[in-house]
Amino acid sequence: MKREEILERLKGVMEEAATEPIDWSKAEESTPLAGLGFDSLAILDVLYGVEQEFEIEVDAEEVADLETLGELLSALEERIEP
Amino acid sequence: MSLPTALRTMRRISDLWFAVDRRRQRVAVENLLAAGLAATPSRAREIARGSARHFGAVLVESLKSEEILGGERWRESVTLEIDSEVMAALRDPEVGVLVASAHFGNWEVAAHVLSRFKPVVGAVRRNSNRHVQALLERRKPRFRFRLTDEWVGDPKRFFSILKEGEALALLVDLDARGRGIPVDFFGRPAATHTTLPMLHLLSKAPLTFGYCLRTGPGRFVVRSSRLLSHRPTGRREEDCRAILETIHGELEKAVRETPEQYLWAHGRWKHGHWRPGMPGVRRGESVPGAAAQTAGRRPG
Repeated sequence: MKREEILERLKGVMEEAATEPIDWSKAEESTPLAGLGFDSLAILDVLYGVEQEFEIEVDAEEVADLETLGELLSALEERIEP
Repeated sequence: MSLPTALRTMRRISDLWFAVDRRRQRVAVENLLAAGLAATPSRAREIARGSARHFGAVLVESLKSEEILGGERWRESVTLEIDSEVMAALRDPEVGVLVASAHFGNWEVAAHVLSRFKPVVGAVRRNSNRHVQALLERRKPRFRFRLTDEWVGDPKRFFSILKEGEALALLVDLDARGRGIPVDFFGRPAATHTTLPMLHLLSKAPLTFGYCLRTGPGRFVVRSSRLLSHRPTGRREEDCRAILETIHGELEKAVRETPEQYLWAHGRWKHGHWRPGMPGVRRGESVPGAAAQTAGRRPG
């Protein structure tokens, strides 16, 4: 799966988990997840959605402290079969 | 001071506190009446006073836990009534276990006893009373039981604890205020944090509800539910609610048997009418529709 496709599906997951609308026009890979409205508790909601959307199991210990959108995207890219 | 003397002294202090702290007395009585555990205000006050005495004893026995439970003394002080699968998980050093508990009985003794089988980390909220907090901080860690800050600012440490094969214990009956989901508890919605079910769903660590009841001065029974393992459905809030309802069902069943060992004097149901998307509820703030939802019920 290409990185762009992963990103689009990840956006859907994040919108589902978000409590406020996300302004994707201002989001880049270097954007902190906190800057998109995701605190440490909300990240857990995203990880749940990621597992369901991509049918993978994430190592929550490894992924829980990723800070940026790009880091999360890269972590998913490593785990999702091409 | 010996344990019996300390308990007698604390009982007098608890009675005095109960008489003086009218606000907490009122909250406890209202909660007991709304829960249907007392048919009259006088019976509710009797249970509430028993609860105040109980938590005074909890403080004493927690401070004297080394005397009561140290070495092999715990085997004489504690009766274990733990599900066999839970015990197997506790004895397996490779398996992390999530232990849900509540402000019921003596949760610190429960953690100390469980730490005899597996290291236990208790996620705790700082006590709002600075004198009590200072008293609690002066204690040394007991056996393999240590505390960590409850605030989920760093969930990685919780996952690390479970990955190390340790037990992570959380109290589920904290008012979640502006976060969390409403869970039925004694017939009323109670705003409940989703941290516990989310940790279970993501770590895949087995979960149990555990508690410790006082059966006499320095005497306890530690119990657990069966081992729980919830399969995600893809609907996060439903999964969280299902897990929390199971846990709260176990808690409610246990509290009904021994109501004076539950902490009734706190606002467990204060924000139960809150729903995601609503503004965070602060003391005194009215929430649209709250009056209709809580009609006929007293706030707690």
